[in-house]
This record gives sequence, structure tokens and C-alpha cells, in this order.
Amino acid sequence: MIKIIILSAALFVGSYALASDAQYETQLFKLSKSLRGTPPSTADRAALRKASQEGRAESYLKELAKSYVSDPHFYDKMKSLVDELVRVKVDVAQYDQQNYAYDNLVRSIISKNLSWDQLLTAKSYQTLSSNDAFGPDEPLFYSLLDPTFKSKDDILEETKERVSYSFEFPAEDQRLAGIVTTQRFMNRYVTTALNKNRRRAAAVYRIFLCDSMIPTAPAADSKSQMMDYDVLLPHKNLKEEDIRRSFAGNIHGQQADCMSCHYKLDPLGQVFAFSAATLGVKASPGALRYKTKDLKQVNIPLRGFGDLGDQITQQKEYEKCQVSHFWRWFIGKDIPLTGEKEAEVIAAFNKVGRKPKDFVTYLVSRPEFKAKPQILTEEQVLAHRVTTIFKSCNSCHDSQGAYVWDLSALPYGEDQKARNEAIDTLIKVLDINHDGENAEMPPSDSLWQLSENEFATIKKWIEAGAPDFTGKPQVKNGGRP
Amino acid sequence: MKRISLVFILFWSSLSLASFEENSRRYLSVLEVKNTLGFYLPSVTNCNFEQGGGSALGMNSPLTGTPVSPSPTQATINWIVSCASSGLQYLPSAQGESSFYLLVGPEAKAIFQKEGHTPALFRKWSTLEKSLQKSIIRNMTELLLGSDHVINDFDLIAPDVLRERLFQGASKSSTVQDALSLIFINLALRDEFLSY
Repeated sequence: MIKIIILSAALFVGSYALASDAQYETQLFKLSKSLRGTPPSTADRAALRKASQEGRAESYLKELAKSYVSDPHFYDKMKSLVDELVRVKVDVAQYDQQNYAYDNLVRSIISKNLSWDQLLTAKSYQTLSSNDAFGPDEPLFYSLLDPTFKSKDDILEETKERVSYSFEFPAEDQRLAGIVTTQRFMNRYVTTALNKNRRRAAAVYRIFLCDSMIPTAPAADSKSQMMDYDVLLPHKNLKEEDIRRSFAGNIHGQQADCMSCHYKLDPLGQVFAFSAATLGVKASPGALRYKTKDLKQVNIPLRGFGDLGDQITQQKEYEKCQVSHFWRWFIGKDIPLTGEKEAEVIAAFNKVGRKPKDFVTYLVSRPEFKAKPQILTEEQVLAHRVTTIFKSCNSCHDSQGAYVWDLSALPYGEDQKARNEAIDTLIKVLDINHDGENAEMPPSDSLWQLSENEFATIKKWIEAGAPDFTGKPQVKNGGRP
Repeated sequence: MKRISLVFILFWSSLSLASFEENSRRYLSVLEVKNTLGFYLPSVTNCNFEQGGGSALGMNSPLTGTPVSPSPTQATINWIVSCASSGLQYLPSAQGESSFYLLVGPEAKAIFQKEGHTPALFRKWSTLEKSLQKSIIRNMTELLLGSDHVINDFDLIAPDVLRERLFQGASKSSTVQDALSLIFINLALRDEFLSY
């Protein structure tokens, strides 16, 4: 009997060790690919096997994660993730070959493990003059801010040489805000006389507060479209009277529906007012305005870019948003981050001083990272697809008086009654039962409309019982009585 | 190359299961795939992806912030094959020697070292002992995808089945170099290689 027990115990321990080893090796591959984008070296694999045999695989992987986040490939990876977030062309140059202030700043935050807030609050820039006599010369972008500035031509007679510039401005300078006041950001989000920097403001809201605004405003009528055209290429027969009449009419930005975004975009856009080919000598005041998820109105006057960076980085929405970026990058958007778990991760983000290397090391130590990858079920895929579509609805329903509920947060409501009501409302306003023939939403005059595929996806999701992210249906019988 | 194309399509089925956006797995970026291929084949050259290949491999479009294609496309296959082939063609040269021995593994290395790596590459694959062929396949599978435990955790294919398919596919190769190329490309196109 004792022999049988010992044998069983030995078999159990043996199978357990085998399972742990497999788990650790999979973790090692995931860790290396996730942080460096390459498989682990044979030396790392051998070291893990040894550590496993000695019962210290966990601590070995923890130490390895720390070394991986100091690998130049990690800097490349983070840089490309930030590039994708900012929506600039991903730069594939090596980490030490950057020339632009934006690239140098992002890389320096990552490699030096500076606070993530520096993306918005940094006041130091390093850049190189152009080697193309006719190309954009980034140092000139900061030239008006630095009284001691000397152009490349003043320094060198031979203009083909590139000159390195380092700009250091005081922390309280109101004219600068991290990557926002770089030429790459400004050139990515160009402005026009009509746009008035709103595109730049929208990018700031999207990147730093996860507030993606979608143009859902009523389409301009033919007259105002003509007006836009005429402002750019004035028609010789157009009279001032016509212009005034056209401006007083159905112009995007002046209607109540448009204000669901413009009340945020316009005041923030004003901060960019004095910036064109070069940054303005003076800061331009504006305001940070938005509504929180619990419908509290935020309205903070800004003296300039400096306040923009300082104030945004103090917002709860900023913490939540930045943590959600990291979560998506290293854990995955298919694993929901809500409630207590979200609070815990945000607390960890703050605890490590919002330093990217430390925070990523924390994330990869979490059980969600270590979990064996699972293929999503069809129901889960549907849940992810519809919530992506519903985020467009949120861009209006999240603000002003049109708020209904967070359409992208599943499940809807605390109890079955609330879920039934929510799905019933969706069926009604989208007219699901008649293929959207008499749909109330989105409004027929909205620029944004559901595509056939999007409608079909929502219909399929409702017919499947409107499953949440775990694949569990929220309602029975596809929402039908 | 035609033979390679035919065989790797058989293995492609695992990749088509996944999508860039909706799978719980995450994919290596195009730059990382290039780095990973270079990890085994330092001589990879034909890996330019700036003319659209990046988007096909899942890199986000700067315009929309999402990948152009929700899942790997034919362009993905073409790019990986082209990039890997550019490195594989250097195997017979002096600079390919260390890659060759890394790919074939210690058992084959002990045998091939006697005749030199270039003649070994031009040997007929069919002249190798079956056990040696299997040893090379086992080594390459473990090298590129990880041990059987890692492959099992992906839950896409049983490691034995994968190796048997590779063994069958490679049996039609004329030379050792052809066989190594075929095995390498097949492995490089798998989800276990491209994702984590």
C-alpha cells in the first residue's frame, strides 16, 4: 500500500513538473516574442531548463523580463507601438539612428525609463538639421523659442553637413508639450483655415484620453460644400453676401449635434493657434473640456501647451487610457480590463511612477500574460466586433445630453431586466427586425452610417443572444419574446 | 520553389484560423518577423516591407490606426517566403556555415562536419539515413517553434503530426538545401512561429 502511495505521488510530482516546464517554456517564448519580437536564445532556453530543475523558474523568468525590457529590440517595439498610436508612419530605423525630435523623445522616454507623462510634458528636444537644402529643417521649428538659436547656415558654410541641436526649456514653459509640440506631430495633423487645429485637438483627445471622435455631424448641404470649395478656390462670381448667407446656414460646427464634439475640440484647438511652420513665441490659451463617464463636466482653462500636458496627465481618464494602451499591447484587448482589476492595474501604473519599463515588467508578471493562449469562440468574436462598432455610437452618446449607456461595455447593466431593456432598445432603434429599414439610429443625416456588414454583425450578435466578452448570452431567444 | 509553394499551402491552414484582430494571440510585427528570420539566417536581404508589405503583415495603417487586412494575406506568405529564401540561399557560402549547423542540429553536425557544410548541402536528401532526416526535422521544429510543450500549448497541431508532414514533404526534395528550405519556410509560416 505504501509503495502504491509513493508510486502515485512520484507519478503526480513527475506529471506536475512536466506541466510546469511546458508552461514555463511557453511563457519564455511569449515573453521574448512579446517584449523583443524575437524568440528566446538557446542560452536562455537552457538556463530556463536549469532553473526549472532547481525550482526557480518563476524567479528566472522575472529577472529575464527585466533584462528584456532593456534590450534595444524592446525600445524598437515600444517605439513602433507609440508610432501606431500616434498614427505616424512606423519608423523602422534602428533605435540610435533617429533624427527627429519626436522620435528622439519617444525613444528617450522608453530607453531611460522616464515617466510616460513625458510624452505630454517633456520640454527638451534633440534634433538634427536637414541634409537636404530644400527639405524641412526641424531645428527651425523651435528657432523662435530660443533667443540664442543659430541656423545651420550661420554655423556652417557647407550646408550639406547636418548639425545636432539640443533644446532645453524650463519645466513651466507654456509653449511646449512633449510630442505634441514636435514637427512630426504637427505635420501629421495638418491644419487649415477651416479646420482651426481641431484635428490636432482630436488627436490629443484620442491618444491621451482615449476619446475617439467620429464625424457624425449632419452632412453639409450642397451650398455649404460649395462654400468650402470656394474658400479654397474663390469663385470669381461669388459675392460677399453669398458667403455670409452660406456661413450663417448649415455649417458643420455650428449645429447642436456638432457641438457634441466641438465643445471639446474648439477650446483645445485654440492652444495650437500660434503654431504654424514654427512654434509660436507666445503661448496660446485654450481649455480642456470633456465629460467624464459619470457625466461630470471637466472644464479647465489652459494657459498654453504646458498646462495642456500638466492637466491632462492629472486626469483619471488619462491614467485609465494609458493603462488600456499598455494592456492592449502586452495582454490583449480580448482580455477585458474592468472593475477591480482595472483599479489594481492603474494603481500599479502609478506605483512604478508611470515608468514604461517597470510597468511592462509588472504586466508580464500578471496571470493574464502567463495564461495559455485561447482561441476566441464565435460568440466572443461577435462581442468584440460589435463593441468596436458601438464605439462609434459612443462618440456622440458619450457626451452632451445624448448619453444612453456605454454601448461598448458588456454586459449591459447589473441585472437581467436592464439587459433585456438595453437589447430591446437596440432592436428598436436599429430596426433589426426589418433590416434597418426604419432605423432611428444613426440619424439619417449623420455622416457616419452603419455599413451592411456592420449591420449584419450587430444582427447576428443579437440573434446569438447578444453574448458578452466571455461568450455568455445576455438575453434569451436572440432578444425575441 | 514550386514544390515549396505546394507543400506550404498544406500547412497554411493553421494560420488562416487566426486573425490579426480577433485572436487572443498577438502577432509579431513585420519588423519583428524580419528580425526573427534574421535570428536564424543572418544573411536575409530581400525583406523590404515598406511598399505595402507591412500592412499585409498586420502593421497598422497610419491613416486608420488598424491593420489594412484583418488577417494574414497572400502578400504575407509571399513576403515571408521571399525574405526567408534570401537568407537560405546563402547557406552554401562561408557566411551560411553557422546557420547551417544551427538548423541541422548537433547530431547532423557531427556527421556533416567531416565532409564540410557546402558539399553536405548539395547532397541528395534521399541519401541521408531516415533517422538523420528526422533528427534534422526535430531540431528545426524545436529551434523555430519551441519544444513539443510549446507547440502543444498552441493547440493547433500535434508535434508528431507536424514532423511527419514535414518528413513527407521533404522526401520529395532533391538536395539537403532544398529540404532545409522547404522545412524552414513551412515552419516560418506557422502561427506558432509568427504569434505568441
